[in-house]
Amino acid sequence: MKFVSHFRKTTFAFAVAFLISLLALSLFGEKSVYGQNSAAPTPSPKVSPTPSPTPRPQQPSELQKALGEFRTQMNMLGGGTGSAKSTGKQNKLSGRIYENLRNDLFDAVPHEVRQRGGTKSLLRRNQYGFSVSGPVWVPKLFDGRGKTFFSVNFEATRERIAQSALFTVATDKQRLGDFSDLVDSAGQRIPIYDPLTTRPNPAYDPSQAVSATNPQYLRDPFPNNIIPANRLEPIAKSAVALYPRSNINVGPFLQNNYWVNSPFENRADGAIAKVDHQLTEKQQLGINFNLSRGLRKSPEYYPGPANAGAPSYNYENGSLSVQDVFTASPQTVWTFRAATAYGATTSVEQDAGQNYPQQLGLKGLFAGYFPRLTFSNGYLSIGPGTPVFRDRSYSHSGSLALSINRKAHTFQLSGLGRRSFVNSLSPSFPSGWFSFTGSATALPGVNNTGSAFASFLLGMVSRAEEGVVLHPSYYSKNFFDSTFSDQWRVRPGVSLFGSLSFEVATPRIEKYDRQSTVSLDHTNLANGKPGALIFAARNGIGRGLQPVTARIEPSVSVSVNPLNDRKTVMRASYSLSYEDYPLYGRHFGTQGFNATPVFVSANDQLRPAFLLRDGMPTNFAQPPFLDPTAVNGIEPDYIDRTGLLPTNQQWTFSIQRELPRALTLNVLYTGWRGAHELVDGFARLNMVPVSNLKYRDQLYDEAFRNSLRPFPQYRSFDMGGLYPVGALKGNSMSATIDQRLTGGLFGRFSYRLAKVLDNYSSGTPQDPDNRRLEWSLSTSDVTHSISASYTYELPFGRGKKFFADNLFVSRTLGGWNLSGLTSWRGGQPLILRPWFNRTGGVVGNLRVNVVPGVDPDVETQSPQQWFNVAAFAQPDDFTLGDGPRTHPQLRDPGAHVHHLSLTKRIELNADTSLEFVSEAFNFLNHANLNDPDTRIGPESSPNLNAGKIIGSTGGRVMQFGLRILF
Amino acid sequence: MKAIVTALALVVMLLTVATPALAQKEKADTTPKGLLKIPVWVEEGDDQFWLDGNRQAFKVFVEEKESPVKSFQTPKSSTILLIVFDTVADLARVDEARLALSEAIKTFGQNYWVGLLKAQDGLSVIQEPTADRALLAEKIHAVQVSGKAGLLDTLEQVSTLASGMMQKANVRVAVLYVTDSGIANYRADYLNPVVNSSDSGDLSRRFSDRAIQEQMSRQADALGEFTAPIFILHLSYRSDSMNLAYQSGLERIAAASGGLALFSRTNEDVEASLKSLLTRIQSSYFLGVDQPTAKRHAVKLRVEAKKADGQSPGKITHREQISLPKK
Repeated sequence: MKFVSHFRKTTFAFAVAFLISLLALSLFGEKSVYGQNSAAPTPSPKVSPTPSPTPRPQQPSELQKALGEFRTQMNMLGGGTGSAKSTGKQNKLSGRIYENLRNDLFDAVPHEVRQRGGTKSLLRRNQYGFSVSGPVWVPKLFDGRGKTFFSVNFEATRERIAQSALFTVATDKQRLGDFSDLVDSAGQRIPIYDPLTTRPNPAYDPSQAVSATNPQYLRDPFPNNIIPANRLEPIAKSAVALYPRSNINVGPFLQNNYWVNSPFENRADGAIAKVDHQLTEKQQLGINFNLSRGLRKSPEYYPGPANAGAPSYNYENGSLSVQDVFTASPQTVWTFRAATAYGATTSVEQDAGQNYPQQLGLKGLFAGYFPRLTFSNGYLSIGPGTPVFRDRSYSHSGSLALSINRKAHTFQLSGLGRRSFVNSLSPSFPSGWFSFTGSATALPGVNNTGSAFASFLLGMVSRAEEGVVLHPSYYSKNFFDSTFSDQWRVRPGVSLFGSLSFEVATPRIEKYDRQSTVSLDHTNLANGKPGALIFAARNGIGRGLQPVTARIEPSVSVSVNPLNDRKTVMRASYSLSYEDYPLYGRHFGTQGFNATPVFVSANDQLRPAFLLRDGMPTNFAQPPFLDPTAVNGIEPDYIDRTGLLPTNQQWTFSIQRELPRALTLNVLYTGWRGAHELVDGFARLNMVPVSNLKYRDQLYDEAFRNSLRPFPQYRSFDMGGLYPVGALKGNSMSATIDQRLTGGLFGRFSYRLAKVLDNYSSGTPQDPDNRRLEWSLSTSDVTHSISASYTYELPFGRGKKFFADNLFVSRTLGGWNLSGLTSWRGGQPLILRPWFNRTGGVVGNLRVNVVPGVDPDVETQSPQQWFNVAAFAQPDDFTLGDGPRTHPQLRDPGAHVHHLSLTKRIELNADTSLEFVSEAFNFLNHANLNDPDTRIGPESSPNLNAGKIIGSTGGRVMQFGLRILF
Repeated sequence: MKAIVTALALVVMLLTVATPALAQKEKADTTPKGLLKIPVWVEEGDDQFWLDGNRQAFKVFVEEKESPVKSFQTPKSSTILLIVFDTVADLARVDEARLALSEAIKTFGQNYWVGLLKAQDGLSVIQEPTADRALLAEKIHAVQVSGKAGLLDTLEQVSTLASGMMQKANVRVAVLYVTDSGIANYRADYLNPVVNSSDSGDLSRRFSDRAIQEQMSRQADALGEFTAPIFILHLSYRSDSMNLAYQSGLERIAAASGGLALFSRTNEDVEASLKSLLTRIQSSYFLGVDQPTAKRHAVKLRVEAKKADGQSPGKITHREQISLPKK
C-alpha cells in the first residue's frame, strides 16, 4: 500500500520537523520574545514615568501613586520587571474531563419498536475524554511559558445500539414454492405461470392491446399456484436456507412481515492536538494534528453470510497542518499554511477464505464473497450489496495570503494549491448481482401476474452483473486558486467588499493511466456509428479525459448604515462560484482495464438471461481488453468531457436592527441559482426516446429496443453521478430574533420561508429528452421551518437576583441552567408513482395520471387518509403519466423535535468546578409520522395502502454527563 | 492508537504535576483594602450624563443599609484608563479603532493618564499610564493584529491591576478592552470541537453553545469581587450561535463590573461605539464606602442620587452587587 506508506512518510516528516522546531525554539526562542523586536513596546521598569505628563497640580501624587501600583502589580503578575509580559491564565493548565452516559434503562421505548410489539431497544453508550491546554514546559529542558502553548483533546466512544427495520420476506409457504398465499395490494390472488410452457397465442389479436383476455403468449399456470418441488432450483434452495422467516404480520396482506431490531457496535477513538509558538513578537507558528479511528459494526438484517445489510468497516482519518503568521507591520500580515489530510475506510472481511458461490453451487464467479440476489417485488434481498471495499484518500495543500491595510482599503492577495489523491479497491458485486423479476412466471405482458421470488426459486435470472477488478485505482488531481479582494470604506456609513478569484482545476488522472470513457466523437468499428471506448494517454488522448478548466469567480457585497443609524445595518451581496472536479473513488471510468459485464434477457417476458444452475456467463471480454469495442452491448461508463462544472450564483439582502431589551432582529433574503449540477439518473443518456412507446410489447425484445437507442451498440450509459445538466433555483426569507442575556434568559428564534425548484432531485426523468417537464419543486423543498434555542439561568446564587449572599443556598440553588432546542420542519413534496410500470423498459420513473376535477387534498388529514387517492390513477400501459414530478400541494407530515438540558455547576474552588448535565432528547417523546404510501394502483387492483401512513418514529433519549472543569 | 493515548496521558500528567507551582507564582493579592469604591453613572439621556453632582447628592445602601460616602470622585477627578488590545482577526476594523482611539485620546483632559496593554498571548504592557498623547497615538498606531485571543484569559489580571490602583490611589480607574476576537480565535477549545467525526450517535454537542455559556458564566462569577469597571469595544459583531453566546457573555461580564460592552456591526460603527464608551467612562462618579464586614458571600448595592432641588437627575446605573473576598 504505497499510498499509506506515502502518508505515513509525510506525517513522519512533519513530526520530525515539529520536533526539530521545538528543539530550535528551546535553543533560540527565548531571546526573540522581546530582545530582538524593536517594535515591542516594553519600557524598562527603571525608566522614570514618561516625561510629558502634566497632571493637575493638586493631583500628581495620586496619579503617581497609581502608576507605582501599576508597576508593582505588573511585577507580581509577570514575576519580573514592571514591563514584563505576564501570561496569566494561559500559564495554567485548563480544560475538562468528561463522561457522557446513555442507557436504554432511562429511555422511552422508540415508537417504531413499540408499534412492532418490542419492549426494549438496546442502547449502551459511554463517551469519555478530556481536553487540556496550557504552556509547554518541560523542567530543565524547555520553558515555553508565555510563548509556546499546547492543547489536546481526546475522546473515545463505546456504543452498542439497536436499529430497527421492517421488511417483507417470502412466507413460509413461498419458501417451499407454494404461492397459494400470494396476493396483490388489494388482496387479490396473483397467479404464477410455468415458464416452460410458453407458446404463442394463436388467438392473439395484434390490433388490440395485450391483456389477460388478449395475451400474445400463453403459459400454463402452476396448479394451485404451487411450484413442484422437483422444479425448485437447488442453488435457490440453498440460499433460501440462509434467508430469514417472517416473524410479524404488519400487513397488509402478508407484506411487512419481517421486523428486526438489530444490535450493532460503534467504537471511536480520536484526538486533536495543537501547539502554537510565538517565534517573535511578529511571528507565530501553529501546528494542528488530529486523528480519529474507529470500527462500525453494521446492524445485521439477519445473521449468517447471506446478510443483506452493509458490511462492518474500519475507518481512520487524520490531518496535520502548520500555519505561520507574520505581522510585518501593523498594516501588513502574511499567513502561510501547509496541510496534509488522510482518510481511509476498509470493510471488515469476516469470512475471508470462504468460497460461498462454490458452497451454493454457483459457477462462473471469480470471488468467494456471498453473491447478491435481489427481487423486484420488494422482498428483502439475499447477500451483501458491497461485500468488500478499501478506499483511501489524502491531500496536500499549501497557501499563502497577504493582507495589507492602506487608508480606506484593506487588500488581500492569496494563493492556494492542493493536490488530492484517492486510492480505491472496491469492486461492485465481485461475486455477482443476480436480479429476479416476476416476468419469468407471469403471463407475458399482463400486469399482476408472476412473482420475482417464484422466478428465483426456478433459478431464472432476469439480469446479472459482475465486477471484475484487476487492480486498485490510484487517482489524483490538482486545484489552484488565487484571489484578490478589497474591503473599501467608501464613505461614512458605506463599505464595499469585492473579490475576484482565478481558479484552475485539473481533471482526475490515474497513476498508471488506467482510465477510459465512451467518446461520442469516435466511430465504433462494430457498426460504424458514433461512440467508441477511448483510453487515457493513448492515441492522442490526454491523461485526464476532461479538459483543464480555468474560471473567474467574482463576489461583491455592500453594507450601509441607513441615515447613519448605528442600530440598523443593511447588507447586500452577490457571488458567482464554480465547483471543482470531484475526485471520486471506486472504478467508474476504468472499463477495459477492469470489466463490469452485464447479462440481460433477450426478452425478459419470454426467457431468462440465464439459469442459475448454468452459473454466471464467462463469455465476456476478459480485462485487460483495451479495444474501442470493449463495452459494446453493455452499459458503458460515460465521463463528460465538456469541462462544464456546477455553477452557482447567490444573492442576499439583509437588514439587521438592534431592538430594545437586548433584542436583535435580522431579516435575510437569499436567492440562489445553480446550473450544470452533477446528476446521474437524471441524464440517462442513450435511453430509448419515449416516442417509441407506440411499439408497445415489441419493446420487451432487447434487440429491437436497443436498435431504437441513439447509440445502439450500447445499453444506457452509466454517468457516475457526474453529468453536468442539473439545474436548480431557490428563494428564501428568514427572520431571526436574538435575545442576548437579559434576566437570565438567552436565546434565538428563527423562522424561514423557502421555495426550491429543480429538475433532478427525484432521479431518472419520465422523458429524458424533455427535461423542462422535470422542472418542479425539489424533493428537499420545505416551505416553513421554525427553530428556537434558549437558555435560562435560574436566578439564585452568586451574581444572581436571589440568595446571592447566602453561601449555602448559593451552592445548592445556584448554578442551574435550563436549555432547550426546538425545531419544526414542514413537509416535503410527495412523489406519486404508479404501482405498475409497463413501458417496455423505456421509462425509468413513470408518473401517475391526475384525475381531472378531483381535489387531492382531504378535509381532515390523518394517518388513515393523508391525501385523496382518487385524485390519481395508474396510466395505461405504454403511456406516460400526466402528473407532476413532485406534487405542488401534497407534502409529507414533516417533523418536530424538542430537546431539553438541565445543568448544575458546582464550584469546587476558584479554578475548578464540577458540572452535572442531564439531557433529554425528544423530551416530549413525540412520534413523528412516517411518509404516506404514494404508490397508486390501477382500478382493477388498487393499492389499499395508498394515501395511508403506517407507523411513526422517535422516542425520548436521555443522556447524563459529568464534567470536571479546571 | 494506544501509544498515542499513552503519550498524551503522560504529557497531561507531567504538565499537571508541574504546573501548580507555576500557577502559584502568578497569584496576585486581590484582596481589596480600605474603601469599597463604587462607579456610578447618572444618565440624563442617550450618551448625556449628569456631571455636576456633589457628595451630598449621593446615598449608598449596602444590603439596603445606608453607608456613608467617605470618598468621592467626580468626572473631573484624575483618571487612569487602561486600554487593553485584543486584536487578532480584522485588519480593517482594527485600523478604524486605532484611528478613532488616537483621535479620541487627544480630547482627554490632562488629568487623564492612559495605559496601553495587549491581551493576545498573555498580558503585556505596550505603554505605562501616561498623559503623553503623542506617544500614546504612536503606540496605538503600532498595535498589531496577530496571535491568539486573550480577553478571557486576562480579565482577572487586568481587574486585579485596575482594582489595586483604585485602592492605592485616589483616582478613578477604568478598563477598556478593544477586541475583534471571535470565540474561535482562542487557544482553548471553547467550541468543544468534534473529535470523532464518524461518531454519528454523538448528542453531547447538540447544545453547541453551552460550553461557551458555562465559561462566560464562570468568568463573570470570578470577577465578582473586583471593583474596576470593565468596558468592552467589540469591533466585529458576529451572528452565529457560538459567537452570540460569547458576545452575550461579554455583555454580562461588563455589566457585572458596572461597565458596558458595545459591538460594532460595520466599520463605521467603530468610531461611534468608541465615542459612546469613552463618554461613559469620563462621566463616572466613584463613591467610596467602608468595606462591608458582614459574613456574607456577596452584598447588594444600591445608589440614590438627587439634585439640590430634590429632583432625580436621571437614570442611575452601577453594579448591583459585589462578591466579598473569601477569608
